[in-house]
Amino acid sequence: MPPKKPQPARNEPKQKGDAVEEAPLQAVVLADSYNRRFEVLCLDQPRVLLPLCSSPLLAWTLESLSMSKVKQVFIFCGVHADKIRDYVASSPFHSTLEVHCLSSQTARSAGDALRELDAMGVLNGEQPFILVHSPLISNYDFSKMLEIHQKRRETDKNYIMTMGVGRGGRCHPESPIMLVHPPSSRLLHYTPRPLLPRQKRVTFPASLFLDPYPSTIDTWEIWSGTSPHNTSKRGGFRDLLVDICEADVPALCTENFDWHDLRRHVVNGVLTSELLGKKIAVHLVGSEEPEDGRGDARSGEGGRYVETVRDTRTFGDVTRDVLRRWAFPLAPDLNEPRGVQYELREGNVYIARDNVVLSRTTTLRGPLLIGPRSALAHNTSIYQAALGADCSVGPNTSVSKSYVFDDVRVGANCTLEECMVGNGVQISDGVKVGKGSLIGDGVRLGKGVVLPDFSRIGRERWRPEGWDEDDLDEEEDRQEDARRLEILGPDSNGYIWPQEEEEEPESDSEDEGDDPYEHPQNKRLLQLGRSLSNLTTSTDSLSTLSKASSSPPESPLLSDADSDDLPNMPSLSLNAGPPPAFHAEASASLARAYEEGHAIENAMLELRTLVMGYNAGIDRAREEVVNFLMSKVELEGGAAKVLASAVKVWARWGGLAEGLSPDLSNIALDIQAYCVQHEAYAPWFGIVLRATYEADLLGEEDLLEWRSLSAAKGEGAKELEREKWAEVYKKGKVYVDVLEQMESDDDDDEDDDEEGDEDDD
Amino acid sequence: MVAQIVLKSNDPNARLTEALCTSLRRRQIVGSRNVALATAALIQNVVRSVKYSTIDELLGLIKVIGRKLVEASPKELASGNIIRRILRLIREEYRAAAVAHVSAPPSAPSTPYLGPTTPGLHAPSTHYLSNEFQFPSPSSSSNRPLPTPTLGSSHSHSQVGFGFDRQTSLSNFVAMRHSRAQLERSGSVLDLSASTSSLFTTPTRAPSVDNGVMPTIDAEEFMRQSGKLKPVLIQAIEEVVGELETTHEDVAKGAREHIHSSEVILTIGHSKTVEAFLKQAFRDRKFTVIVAESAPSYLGHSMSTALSSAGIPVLLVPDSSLHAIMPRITKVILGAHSVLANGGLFALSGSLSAALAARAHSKPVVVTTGQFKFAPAWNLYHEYSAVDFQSPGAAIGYDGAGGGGGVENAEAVNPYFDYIRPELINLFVTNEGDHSPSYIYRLIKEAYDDEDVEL
Repeated sequence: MPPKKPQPARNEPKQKGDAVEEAPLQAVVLADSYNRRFEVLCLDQPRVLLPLCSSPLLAWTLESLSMSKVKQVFIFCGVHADKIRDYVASSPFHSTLEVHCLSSQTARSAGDALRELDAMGVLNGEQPFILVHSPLISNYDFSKMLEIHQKRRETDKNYIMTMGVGRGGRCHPESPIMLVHPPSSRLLHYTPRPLLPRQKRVTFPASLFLDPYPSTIDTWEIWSGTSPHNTSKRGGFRDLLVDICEADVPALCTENFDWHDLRRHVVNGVLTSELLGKKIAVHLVGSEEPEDGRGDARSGEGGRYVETVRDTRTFGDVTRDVLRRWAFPLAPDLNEPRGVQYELREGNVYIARDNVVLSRTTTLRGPLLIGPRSALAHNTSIYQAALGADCSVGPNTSVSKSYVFDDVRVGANCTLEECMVGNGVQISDGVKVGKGSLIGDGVRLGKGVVLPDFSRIGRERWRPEGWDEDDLDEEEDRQEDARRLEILGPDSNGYIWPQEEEEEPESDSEDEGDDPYEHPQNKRLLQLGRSLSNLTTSTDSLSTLSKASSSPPESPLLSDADSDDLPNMPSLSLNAGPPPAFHAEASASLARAYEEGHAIENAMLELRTLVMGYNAGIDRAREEVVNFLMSKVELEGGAAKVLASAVKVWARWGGLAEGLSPDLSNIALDIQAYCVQHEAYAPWFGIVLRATYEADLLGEEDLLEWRSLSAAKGEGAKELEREKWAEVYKKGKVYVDVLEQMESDDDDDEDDDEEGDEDDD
Repeated sequence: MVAQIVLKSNDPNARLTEALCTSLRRRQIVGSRNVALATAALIQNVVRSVKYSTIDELLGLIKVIGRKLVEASPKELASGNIIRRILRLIREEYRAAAVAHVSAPPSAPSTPYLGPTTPGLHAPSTHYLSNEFQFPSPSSSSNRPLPTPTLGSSHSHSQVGFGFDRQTSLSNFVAMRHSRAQLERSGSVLDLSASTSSLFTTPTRAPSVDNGVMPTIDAEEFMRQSGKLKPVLIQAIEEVVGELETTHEDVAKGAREHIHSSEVILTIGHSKTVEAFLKQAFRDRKFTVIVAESAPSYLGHSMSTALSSAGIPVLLVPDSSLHAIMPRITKVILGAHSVLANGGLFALSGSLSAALAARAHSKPVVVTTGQFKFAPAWNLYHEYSAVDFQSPGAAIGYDGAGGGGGVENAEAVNPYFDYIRPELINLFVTNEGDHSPSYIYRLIKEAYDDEDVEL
């Protein structure tokens, strides 16, 4: 489809004027999200026209781009393309921007969009363009990023893309982990990583560290989204979802028809394909500041605020940020895209200058915004909310952290908490809207309705993807109606949509591996009103890897790396462990082998299979084995009995542990760990060590090595257990000391004093 | 009667206006002087290229543009000021031309010639000449408040020169103007206020006494010809630009009168006017400057660099020590963003604490400013947002874990300006002499026409 120019006549003279100097800077905005996060609010309008602070998201996006010296914008529309086109035609942007709406009903993903874009041939092949995935609000000048991209390309033509990365700011559930080579800003690996379900480990392909990269890459950094403050200077990286792309990117999408997601497929596809030989860079927004020199602080030039609205959670966050003036000079009272005049009052309270009625007893606590011609009755309380135009709020109603669109009537004695209310919604008296609720356009809620948290009410029935009239299931509908009547009462219209996480994930057969971000648990977190505070802490330790990253580990999985290879890194932090199923299976298999007296080789084989199957790592397996064997040591009846029992166990089954450890001293370490955890075994640690020696499992040098290990002395252990470790270590050390003395007595006469010195070390 | 020219959307002027509005709105042009210069350049362009048949059309158009600019950036009062200034100059030029035209009416030799001068301009009710009707005694020659030479002595000459040089045609008006300029340069400016005022009083008679047909026709013809005034008007605007460009030097001219040897001066932020002022004074006097670093913009840093490169001994201190060092200060010199008619002013945030500290220690506070920053507004400071709140990022950084990089659950506000009450200021040093805060309203009244106060 050829591009449709809304006002070709008007655009022409401008283009002539600009084209002389250089080709206009182009940007592509993907208007469709290709997911269903906003669906209930988007029955009548596309996501980009949802009002944020009472102006459509698209207006903020265009303004942000225009401030980045962009001259030509292509809006790639999916559904409701005509609405977007109408909006663009009536918007005030034609004086500064040339906006083209491209529409396609067939594109089902961002990859499709890029393919169609490539086919349309509207982009200037000579110049990179800015690709905006979601509605963007920013005061950052992306032309700076573009400049750096072009500079990078002067030296290496293979850089086809630069991804914008932000530092600081709020933690988002979708924060990827990026492996970056800092001096060249080259991106080596990209893993999408949702907060939930928690991914305990990250896999980096070994080839990254082994082959073909030139020797110039000798340092790595891991950029992840952990909160920046609790690990000094590490973490806090966000993927901004704004890219500088060369024309190669859409072309590559055309070649690879199975690329859908821009990050999972396109970025990873480019990075992992050696055939392509293309590279992707990252750019940290704000890092170019020094060379920039200091501009006038008042001008919005130095802004670093970049946020995209991808889900209802960010919608709320971004609204509050805008009201707190983070996007200055994009603020409702200064540069309101729709031209509504707002008055700024104390505490970031924005009141439209156009006939807003506030009662004397209205309580306003900012940051909040009240649109033109809205009326608040007495004893209303508004807290951190945004009310659109022509809204009315009845007496004794409180609205907090909610985003109310235009023309909404709220009755008396209502409570709205952390919800989004669509255009033209009518809420009768005494309604309680729970946290995280989304109420679609045109819904009416009857008197006294209490909406449960995170409910979604749409004017039309929820339909799963790919639904059509034929699969009408009357039985199901009847059940639903009963439920609806129960919650919404007889006076309401609208249907209850299933909870977002209950939605069946898209049955996308071609898509190998589901999008981790579309996992129900993660989708929950993307909802407005969900708290992240109890989730963020667990992810801290990941970023410590970057400290040690200068020495590349040999093993294909970083998580398998021995603590010796990465001396600074506590190995526990990455080894969060295989799934619990592994433990269950492994101990079952061991018990079977023990009961039935399998041969060591067979038991070994079984264990190894399990290790492979669960991708558990042999350290885990060995730990499992040692724990199992230790539990078989009988503790009754004096040291001699215990020793005998231990020797018996280790002599019979020690081979299992031996086969699983490249370094035998680890067995000693594992035994120690077991003793630390099991109070009863702690006193017998020395005995057990002796048993391993006597069973010919551990040699003298292994025990000596164990003695010298820092981990054995309790380093790297948890604060509480450290003492325990030290205590148990002492027990074992006595035995090893004796052993050493014995051996050395055999060989030749060592000086006792020297030995004492060694012990102190 | 008032014909309005509406700029077509494809008109290059409309696009220029739109572009300036956009960059004002996006804060791509900031600072009073930059805004003033950009405004003057825009208006000059408009006057040069736009076609108008009567002077009212032109004035109306400029007003419309002015309104747009003010709307785009209500905090940059300078743009409105420049518009008002230009409007006044255009009126003055026009008036002068009208007088010259009437003094020897070639087009209407048969006009009943009543009295010494009868311009017979049919003044519309909204026209500036209609002011004259209100004067009860037309014969009184001193009633009309004349534009006083206090502001822009270089401009006040536009009233002089018509009495002695009776040009017959508008087409050589430029030449006339040149001769006037020469006269002025040679210092032989005549005081023609008597004849001027008699000229200005005449219109009162026009509608009442000689209510004839001919004068109206005459006026219309003159109106038509007023298009030929263009070069004069452009030149007038050029003078405004010239005045803006030399503001710093003009303000600095009297610097040695204000700073004594071995004084210790405190300043805040980086005002170009203050910088020029101090540098000028340093040629004659030896003194020390203490610069407050002015967080969060840290403009004090660049100020201290600029001053020390000129050899001035500079001390850079954090803002927090303003009060502590005040006893050692002998004078506080501040720059201004805009000066209101009550004598209060908006200046870089931190200036208020400096002024209050100075008041507490009884130190004089001097404000150096160009008069183009004087705005005919009184009560802007009532509005909370008048101090121009910026992004909190500049103040608290972008690395926090809260929204945008801030601190979660903590509000941060970052005002760029302080409003300083007039009673905290001792003196305004301007490019047109030194004034006390209580006199500012008078200067403003003289600088702009009353009808332009509301654009």
